[in-house]
Amino acid sequence: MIIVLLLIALFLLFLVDLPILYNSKNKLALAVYSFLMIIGILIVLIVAEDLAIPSPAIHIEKIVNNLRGN
Amino acid sequence: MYKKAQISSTQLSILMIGFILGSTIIIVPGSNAMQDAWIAYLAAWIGGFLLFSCYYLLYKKFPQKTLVEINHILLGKWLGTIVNILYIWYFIHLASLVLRNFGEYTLTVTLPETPLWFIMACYVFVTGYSVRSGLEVTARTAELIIPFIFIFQVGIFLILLPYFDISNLKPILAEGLQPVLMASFSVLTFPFGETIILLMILPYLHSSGSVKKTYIFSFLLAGSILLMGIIRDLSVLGADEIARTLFPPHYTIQQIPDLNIDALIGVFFFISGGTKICICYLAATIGIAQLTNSHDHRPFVIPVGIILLGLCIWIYESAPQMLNWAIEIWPLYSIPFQIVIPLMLLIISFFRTKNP
Repeated sequence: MIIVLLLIALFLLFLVDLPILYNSKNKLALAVYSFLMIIGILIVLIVAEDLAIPSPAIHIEKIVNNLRGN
Repeated sequence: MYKKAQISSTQLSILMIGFILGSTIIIVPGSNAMQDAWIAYLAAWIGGFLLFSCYYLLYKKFPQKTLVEINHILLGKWLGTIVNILYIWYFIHLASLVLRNFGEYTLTVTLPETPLWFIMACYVFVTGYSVRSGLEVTARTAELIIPFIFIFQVGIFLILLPYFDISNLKPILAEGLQPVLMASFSVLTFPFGETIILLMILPYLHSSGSVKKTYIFSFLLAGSILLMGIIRDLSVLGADEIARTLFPPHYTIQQIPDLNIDALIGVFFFISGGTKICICYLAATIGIAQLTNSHDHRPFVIPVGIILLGLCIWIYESAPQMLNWAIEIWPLYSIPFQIVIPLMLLIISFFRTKNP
């Protein structure tokens, strides 16, 4: 239920920006906007559902540790 | 927001002070050097100054360009875009780190029963509103509130002066130079090296000639406030107590008898942390706008805000993990963004100037 409400809220927020994006007629901006929105919703879903997906910090830590030979 | 917004050198100075203080005000920078934290801090302060010289030279080469535009000019379209995406990620990551610091502080000290997401959502909403209103609004807000930090910090330092135990600063360099150098590198990257982000807002200054003086003044003032904080915390609490405490400045202020002003540290943090998050958030949205050839950064405020809200909760499992990450991983992770790429850009810019 909370997630549905959250998605509706996000959709309403999306409507706030639509006029600016539509007036700018910039397809790249619209594509990037949609991409960021989807990424944001996915991250919020991961947090709300408490899914066991490792965060970027874990991946960065692995890379840094590999680079320094640990 | 293609440089339509203009800020004065005073506003830039205030923004820089707020940015440098940021979340550093609730921790003791270089605390892993124990009683030598102040030496580590001083070394990092000098190193930070050298790093800034590099950023300043880059700015002087392209005074009207942001970091994103400089990357495009010097690295070309494709490589420039890749580096820009990495920088935008870095700005968002930095904002989420400070945001999480804020959340953990609020949760630990003031509102232990409140859910973390609610605290974060409130903060993202406020900073998002400021970012959506533009750089001038953010700068004016900072101009109004940041000076209080300096006044209160000096006041608290003077009140606590009778409780200072200078023996807490000794023995000097008991473990040798290595731990001090390690700690100083950590301080160099957090907060001094992070000033690379200011290259995103320097072109919005209406008189570019004053950048050098403004930066030196802000760097010295913010650095002095932090140094005062480190000496205060070390002298009052001692290195062992600091190692056991999550937010030492808060605990230091509780040592003042008959005066309950520990909430002030929270207020400082809300102000300076808020300024830092606003700058990171603004830099990310301006960067995305420039990357997409968009003339307005505002449409990207909500998506970046949603990413920030989710990321700051998802990224670390707990406060100790967050602090450990900030000390162990962040300095190494920041090397490309704060040292390697800016130096590379500077070298390329010298060659480009010689062979245009």
